[in-house]
Amino acid sequence: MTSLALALPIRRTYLRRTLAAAAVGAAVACASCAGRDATAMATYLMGGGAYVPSEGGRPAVLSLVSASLPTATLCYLLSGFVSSELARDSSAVLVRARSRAAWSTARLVQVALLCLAFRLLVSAADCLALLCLGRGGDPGGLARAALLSLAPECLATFSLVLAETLVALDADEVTASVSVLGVHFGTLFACSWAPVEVARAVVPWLPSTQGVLAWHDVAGLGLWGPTGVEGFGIAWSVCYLTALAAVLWCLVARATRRRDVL
Amino acid sequence: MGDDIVLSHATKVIKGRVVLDDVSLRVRRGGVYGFTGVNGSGKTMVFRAISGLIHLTSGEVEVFGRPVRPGDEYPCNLGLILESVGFWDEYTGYDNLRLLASIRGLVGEGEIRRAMERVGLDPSDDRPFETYSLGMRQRLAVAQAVMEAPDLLILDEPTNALDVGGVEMVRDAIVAERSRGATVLVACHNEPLLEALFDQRFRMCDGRIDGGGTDEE
Repeated sequence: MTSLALALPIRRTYLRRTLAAAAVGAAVACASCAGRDATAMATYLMGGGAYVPSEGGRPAVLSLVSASLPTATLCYLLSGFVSSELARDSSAVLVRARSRAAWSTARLVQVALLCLAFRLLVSAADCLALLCLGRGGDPGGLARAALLSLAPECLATFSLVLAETLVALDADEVTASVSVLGVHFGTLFACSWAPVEVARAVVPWLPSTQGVLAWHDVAGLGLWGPTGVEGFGIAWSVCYLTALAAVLWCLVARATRRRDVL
Repeated sequence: MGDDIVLSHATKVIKGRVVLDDVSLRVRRGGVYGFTGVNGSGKTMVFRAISGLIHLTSGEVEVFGRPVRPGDEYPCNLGLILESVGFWDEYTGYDNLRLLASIRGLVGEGEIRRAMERVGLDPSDDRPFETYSLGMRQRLAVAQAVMEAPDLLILDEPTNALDVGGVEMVRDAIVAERSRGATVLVACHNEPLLEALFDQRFRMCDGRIDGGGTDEE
């Protein structure tokens, strides 16, 4: 009986790519934190504060771009995971799997684990950079912020990779990255520059903003940073992103089943 | 379970190009069937269709009485070499086979070791796969195809990168599989050692079977 789990190792290439993306995150953290107020930078790094307008100012373009680099790097490097592995696995693994659904389940679980590993590494790098390079950092507060942002950010990253995977199965990795990340970051940048009233009205409903902690109503949690949209809770975003990831997962599984392995 | 592998009017069009053109064939269980033809004649595409890796534009594939539908579980125990086999670079040959064997759980360590010895590889060799020569990689590919005693063995250019000893190893493996009752489909060109084993030959040209019938030699 074929194992449903198909517990196969992740190829070293993708582990390296995940580490590389996390290194980009660490570099952004170090460059952002050096000599700056740790609390303010925590909002920027862990809360996605770079995307949220603060009182009297709009986010700088350079801040938006640098905040986007780690996630964009990971998404690009993982966008071809499923399509590449489908070709590589054709002779030996695919013909042994109980079905392509079983195969795609196993591979998408690996993608999820890589996204989680990336987020954990970047969170750890953010905390270390803030404590070691920033001024006045509070370890307890930083740890709490990192934990609270983990689920929505992880789900958001995973959803982005799934969306890119879906496009990459039909097109190629560059097209997938440009199209999906273009829409995603374009939405975030638009929300950060739109009139505040407009942004606050739409932010709870857009997929791209669900992973940005600074847009959420976290003031009552005693966290730093600007007050987000009132009533926009983390639980809502976790449910939203879980449903989105589930839909994308099914679409990727269907596309994998329909794809010719050439 | 039926005894035949049947392709019925199989056609495959990729980006406007006909790569399989109304191919129909029937092979009986338990023989060795050769597919010959120049590069691009459609041999590999026939194998992809039979092994369920592609969706035919039209036509059907049946293996031992059961339809082959890409995405579903394959109708029988299949051993396959189709272009390169995606082994894990950082694992040894033995560990690679152990990983593959764990998917279906049909064979244990003994069978894996014997499969490696049959193809001339040392199961205790602790070098990772990425250090293997092309010939060693091909031998490992043959080992993974035969280690689970498949009902159907599909070998696409199995002698690539192999020396004379390697070609003889492939020949001996095909003979052993046939004597065990497996059905073997082989694509090759210019390999007299293998072609002498064919019970039937299918010559392919431009995505069609060109003639066919029993090899009288």
